[in-house]
Amino acid sequence: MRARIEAAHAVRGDREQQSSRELATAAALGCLERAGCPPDRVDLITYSGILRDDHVQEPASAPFLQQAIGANPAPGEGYPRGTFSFDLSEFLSALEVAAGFVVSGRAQRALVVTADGRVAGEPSSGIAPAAGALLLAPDPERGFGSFRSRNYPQWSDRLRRRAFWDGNRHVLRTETRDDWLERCVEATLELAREFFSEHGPPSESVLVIPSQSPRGFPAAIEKQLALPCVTAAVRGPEDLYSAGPITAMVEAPERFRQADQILFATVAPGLISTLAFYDKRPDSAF
Amino acid sequence: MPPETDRLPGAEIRARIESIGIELPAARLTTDALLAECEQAESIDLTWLTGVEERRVCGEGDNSRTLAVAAARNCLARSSWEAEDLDWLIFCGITSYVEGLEYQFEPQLSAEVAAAIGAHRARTFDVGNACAGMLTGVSILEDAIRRGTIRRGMVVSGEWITHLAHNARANVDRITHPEIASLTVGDSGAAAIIEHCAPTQGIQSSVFVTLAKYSDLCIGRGYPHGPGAFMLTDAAELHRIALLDALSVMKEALSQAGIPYSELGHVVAHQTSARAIRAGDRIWQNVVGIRERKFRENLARVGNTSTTSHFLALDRLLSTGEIRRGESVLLLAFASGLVIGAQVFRVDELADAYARTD
Repeated sequence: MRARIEAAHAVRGDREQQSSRELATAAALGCLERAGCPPDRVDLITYSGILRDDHVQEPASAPFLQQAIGANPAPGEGYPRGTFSFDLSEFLSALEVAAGFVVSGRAQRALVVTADGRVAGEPSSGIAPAAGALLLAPDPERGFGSFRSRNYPQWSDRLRRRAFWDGNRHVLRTETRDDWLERCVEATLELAREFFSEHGPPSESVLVIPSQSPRGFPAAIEKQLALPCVTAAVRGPEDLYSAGPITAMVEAPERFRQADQILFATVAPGLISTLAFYDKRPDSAF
Repeated sequence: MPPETDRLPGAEIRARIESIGIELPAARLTTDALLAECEQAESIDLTWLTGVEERRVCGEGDNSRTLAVAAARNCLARSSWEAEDLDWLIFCGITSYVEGLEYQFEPQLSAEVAAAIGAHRARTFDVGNACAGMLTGVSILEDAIRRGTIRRGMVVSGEWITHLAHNARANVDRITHPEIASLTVGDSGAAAIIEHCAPTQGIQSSVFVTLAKYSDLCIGRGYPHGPGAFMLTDAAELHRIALLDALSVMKEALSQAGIPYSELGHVVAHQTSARAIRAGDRIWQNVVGIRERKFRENLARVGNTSTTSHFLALDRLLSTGEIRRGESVLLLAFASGLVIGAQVFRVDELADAYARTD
């Protein structure tokens, strides 16, 4: 058994103070609508996003999303069967955990949501407000296969994002080294080449869905791997972050349809490079 | 050829708790001393109300990361495995404070803990699920182990949360004050290694549900007047709903495990207050008709330590021999969200390790 994508949806922020919760809710509801799946059929919700609305530390963001979309928010028929929701730090770890729950039968439908909103009262974080959602369902043949991840702790100082009290308010501070992009590309190339060496070369119809940040990462991966990569349109000075891969995927539906292999390739501070292989039927939406 | 899912060979497998490590900061703060610092709380008998006599508090150089790293090292010291043997490492804490009260969003603390202990091979990520974080992490590892994706992993947390009490001191003036729960918290770290085992051993069931309708009953967020955070809780309503709706979750977990309540040795619930735990015990005794106290308490010396509370309690109960090999234990999670979860496991060589070391 595997976990395949049943539907996907992405939204970009269009107002100055659009919150992560608003964006995540819109992406999740749009995804469920596309799948024709009522919210109460969702067994698992994962939420991934860097910034927290109103600096909330608990609960996790996922229960707020669960409540907003009406996915079994209270005990109902069949309780304690219901919806389980929690946060995971980045997109591909969420995807791996959610796909695992689908494969093991613990979830029939799993909703993976990524979102970054604007923090009220904060100047720009450099992250474009956006959200994406994928609905996963079991499939006997096609879907997510291998996940591969590697940490490069020697580059852990290349990007740090912290909040601190400046005497008047909590302030977000992001420190990025000049070679952040270069290290992201280096790590991804090493992992991808190792992956292809172990599993064989990709098909001629492979498509790479990479992180959309740092800026220039998709283009560099496309050039150096010599594989087609999807780059989402850049709108303004801010970069798509947590929602980058889903946004890029949703905004290139024909390229995704034509591919028979998808390679998700993400990078996160740490430095953590992660790959996820998705095997799909050619000419199918997912 | 498209690669197949990474699956290890083998028949049906389960997951077991192989090792537990905890870390407590050296400094202690008694409840009496804390109340003496409160401006309007002289008449509140917090120890009577919650069972918390003292808690550990972070000192100079302590933070979420140092507590997590120390707990992970202590866990490895009691384990048969080396850090290099870990396939996954999941940080499950609510707080990510490093270098004072700087809250680190990135890099994830899981990556930093893995680097610090030498778990260079481990896939790392952070899980957030309020006080159910560590048991959610266990559930994730259990799922991956049972699918054959990994052989073993570590859940780890470090919680620097006593700034909640610091920030509540000026406000709390009655036992029903929404920040009263902030006066019960303590700092700590905990880690556990989860590994594959035979089907008759280990974790026999894992049932979790989120009742999101109640997600606003306990909210912690950045303190608007200084560093750290503050927490507002409708403690009475939270406990009422949690105790009521936990019954079905516990029943389902025991049913899936095939263990009748009469044969269950211990219930280790999230440690919020002794009164709430005893109330839960009484409710459950009435439901099953068995007059035997099984809900265990571990509040007196450490307080409510949020994500680490189950493993701190297990560590003490195993150390004192109150939990023994062959017994079954139900871990009961309550957390903001509202998350309710139950995991039933059989105690195995884990208890022997405590007998050897202690």
